[in-house]
Amino acid sequence: MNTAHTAGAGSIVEFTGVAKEFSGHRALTGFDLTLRPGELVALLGPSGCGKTTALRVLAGLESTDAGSITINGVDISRLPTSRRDMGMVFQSYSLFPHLSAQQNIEFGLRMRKVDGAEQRRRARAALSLVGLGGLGGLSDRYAHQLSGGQQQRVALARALVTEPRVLLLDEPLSALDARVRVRLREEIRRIQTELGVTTLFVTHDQDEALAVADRLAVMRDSAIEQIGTPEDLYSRLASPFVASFVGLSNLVPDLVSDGSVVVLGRRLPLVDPSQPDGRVRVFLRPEDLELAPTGVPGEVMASSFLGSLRRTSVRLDDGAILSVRHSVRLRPAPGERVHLRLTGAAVSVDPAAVTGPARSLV
Amino acid sequence: MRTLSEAARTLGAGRGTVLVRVLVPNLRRGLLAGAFISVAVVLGEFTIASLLNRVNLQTALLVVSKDDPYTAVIMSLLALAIAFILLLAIGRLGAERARGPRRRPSTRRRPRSKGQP
Repeated sequence: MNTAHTAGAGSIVEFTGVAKEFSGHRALTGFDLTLRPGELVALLGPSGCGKTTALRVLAGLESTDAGSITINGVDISRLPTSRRDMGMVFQSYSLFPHLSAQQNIEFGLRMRKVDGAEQRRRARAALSLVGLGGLGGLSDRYAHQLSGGQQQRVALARALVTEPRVLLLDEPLSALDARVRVRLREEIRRIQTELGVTTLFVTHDQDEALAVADRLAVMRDSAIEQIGTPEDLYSRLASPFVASFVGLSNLVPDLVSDGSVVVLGRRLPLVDPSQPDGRVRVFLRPEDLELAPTGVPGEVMASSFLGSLRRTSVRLDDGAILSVRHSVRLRPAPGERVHLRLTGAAVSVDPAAVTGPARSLV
Repeated sequence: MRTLSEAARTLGAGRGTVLVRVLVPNLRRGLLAGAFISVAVVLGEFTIASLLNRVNLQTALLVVSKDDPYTAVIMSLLALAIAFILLLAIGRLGAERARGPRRRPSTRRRPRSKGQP
């Protein structure tokens, strides 16, 4: 295992039982997480779940109350921020307003006493890495002369130019408009893969997390609720909480028998066939349902146009409300009678025994 | 300011460096204004100094005012005027810093920001 302090090598970061409390409010409790070399892990969760605290504790901007944080096996939890060798991008553009873009990028190199010519060379290389090279003039600009997207690109260059052991991204795209956000997240992913730098990405946007992460950790109340690859998380939901964060799901009370469930009159396989028999709630994804000429009848409650597809909520005759995703060619009107059919995809279940009508998590 | 100093710390700046390289440059305007206001207040303390009007502990200002009331008035007016001019100058300097960059042709900025993000 390479333990050199270069970005290319990728570092192993390990949180073990980290706890942090802010005047009575527990931000992190028994937080365990291991980042493999060169991996991008996204922390996803509602505000106040502790995801930002986890990142700040790793950066050394907050101290820990308990537990240890190691990089490549060396405990860094007592090291001051300035000596942790990390690159961080903040949500609020944090470029130094009194320095030009170029000087901003050189700041970290100046702190490391890199000589002038080398500073300029590496800053230029970093600028072209984030797609701001070649156009000239930009590097002399001050933060307020740059657009939000450009500012975050410069901030990313500033964080990467020192070849940090770990890259920390604290909701870097939240302040940008939708179009720029999608483009920049793809570029962040490209650059991160190119450099192989271990990265912790904090976000509350599920699309962002699913799109860029190698692994995704959904956090709830100061601890990780579920962690896995985006595909894994999406298909094997551990709880209704995770379901509400990773795509939309309908919850249907049901009975498991022989590793399958019967939903709307059709037997569906389980993602995890080892689930013991008993009462469960089934996570039924809107794309696992379709509108069909025949099937379970219901009445359209509402239908919304989402561009490439349409989402319609349907109330079945037993009172259950299910959300279905379908082609925009069908335009059901509220009050219309429709039929729902299952596509037959495997489903995951929540073992919590709860009775009551099906509902949509929307 | 908090994010700026945190950013500087993650980039390897110690507390002293953060103060000198990040906080002071960005707070320069406020620091200067504060300093001059203190000078103005100190000059205003003359009233109290004049209460110490005893022969054995006279202050320079008191001596001048005793010698010639006109000089005293002229000096206080001058002090006031200088403080006023300095405050104006600081205000102008600060405004220029904030406005300055905007003087660049903004027409060139637009298309670039669209092509870039």
